Amino acid sequence: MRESELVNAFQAAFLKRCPACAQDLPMSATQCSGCGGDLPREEESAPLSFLHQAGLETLRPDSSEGSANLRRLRRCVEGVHKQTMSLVEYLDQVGEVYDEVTNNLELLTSPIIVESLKEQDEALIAIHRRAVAALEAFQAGCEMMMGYSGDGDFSPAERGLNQVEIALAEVDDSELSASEALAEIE
Amino acid sequence: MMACRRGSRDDLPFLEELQVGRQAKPNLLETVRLVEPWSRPELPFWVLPGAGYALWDLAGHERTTRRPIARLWDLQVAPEHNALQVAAALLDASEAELPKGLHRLVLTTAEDGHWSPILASRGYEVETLRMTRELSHHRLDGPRLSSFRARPLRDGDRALLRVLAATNLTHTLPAGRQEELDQFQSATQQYFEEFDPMAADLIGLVAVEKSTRRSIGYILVNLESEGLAYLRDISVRPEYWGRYAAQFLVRAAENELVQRGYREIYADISADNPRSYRTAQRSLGFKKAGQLWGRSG
Repeated sequence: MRESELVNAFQAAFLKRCPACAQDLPMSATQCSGCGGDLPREEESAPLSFLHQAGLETLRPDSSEGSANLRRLRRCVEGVHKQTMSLVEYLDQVGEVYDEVTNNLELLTSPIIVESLKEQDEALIAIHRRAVAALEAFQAGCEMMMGYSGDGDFSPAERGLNQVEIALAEVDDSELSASEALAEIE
Repeated sequence: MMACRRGSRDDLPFLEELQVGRQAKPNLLETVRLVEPWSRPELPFWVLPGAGYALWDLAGHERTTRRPIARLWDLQVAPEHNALQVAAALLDASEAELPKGLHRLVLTTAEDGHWSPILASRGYEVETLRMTRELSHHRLDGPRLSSFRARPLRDGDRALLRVLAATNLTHTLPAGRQEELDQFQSATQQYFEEFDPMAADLIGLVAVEKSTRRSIGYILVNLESEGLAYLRDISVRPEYWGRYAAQFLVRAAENELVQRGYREIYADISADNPRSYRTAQRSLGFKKAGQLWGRSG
């Protein structure tokens, strides 16, 4: 992966738009390079929720039952326990969640998001760090779950699921903290 | 030579006369009668009486950036006239009156490839190459392709789409528009933020490497009318380039299209991307059908 291209790409995720001519501009711009007009000051503060930006809605616990992915992982563990799910199906399902989390982590840790955060409030930077750590724990939990080999020892699946549950609670907490921090900043 | 003028309803018989016997766009006349461009400011046309006409469409948007564009819908010259002179006059007359700031796009096919010098001399550049292919069903269990499987795109793939589209954007940017990279990046990211993977007019597939269960690429195909499909976007993780992942994705999408009764797929490849052009031509069986010329307005 070419880092510079990724940097450019995610920089674009934090562009702002000129209200007069709709030209896309860097967040730091005070004047539009398209029409030459001055940009309103209120446009300069970017509403930033990196979890939302990174499309992590499916990871967030959306009710007391937890997120769609958590429900899916729980069904997997239940399936192998009750022998209603084959090992291959179990690994495919857990593998899909692992893949999705890995892609989200890739997006969240892309250099431009990290770079953009440097200009943000310290509270948000700390929350980003927590969110990344939580996603890494989620990813590790999935990896652990994929260590289940169908030999009747369910502990990798159970320990992995437990780690995912803890990680998801942390993801949710990070997002809540981000919302609160944003509200304070705004 | 007479001067060009803005077209009106009175020019319909002339348009009909020039359309007679044309094979390339047989439905155009019917469409023109239906939409009545003389009564629509977004469909301006210019006529060189007795010699030719140029019909523009200002209602469309560029697929990638979603910016409004001016697209030359049709340009025809009567056989007994000097095609290049008439085309040049019509383009110049159009240019003088088309709104400023709109990016101009002109598609030339094999039929109207002779306009190329006129376009080039007026600042147009070949931005993308239009490639087409008749659809057929493929086996995906051969030695090169069997290490992948395809699954439908879903909402959770947004991060994959955004990362891969961003990674490969410099290879898909239309030629001559490198300075617009930021705008393309922004439009692409916004597109995927608002993107509906379940849209009825879309086939979206993700290629998964069987051994690692990792998603390694995606393909997006827009379903159009009359059995036509448009390959909107295909992207593969760079570390999987040269491992037939693109071929797998195109073939998996083709199978889906054939099943739904589609007969042809087309794609636009950046004129700056000879690697993709070669892949499309040699590995995927696409043929060059035309080129899309562009210039800023």
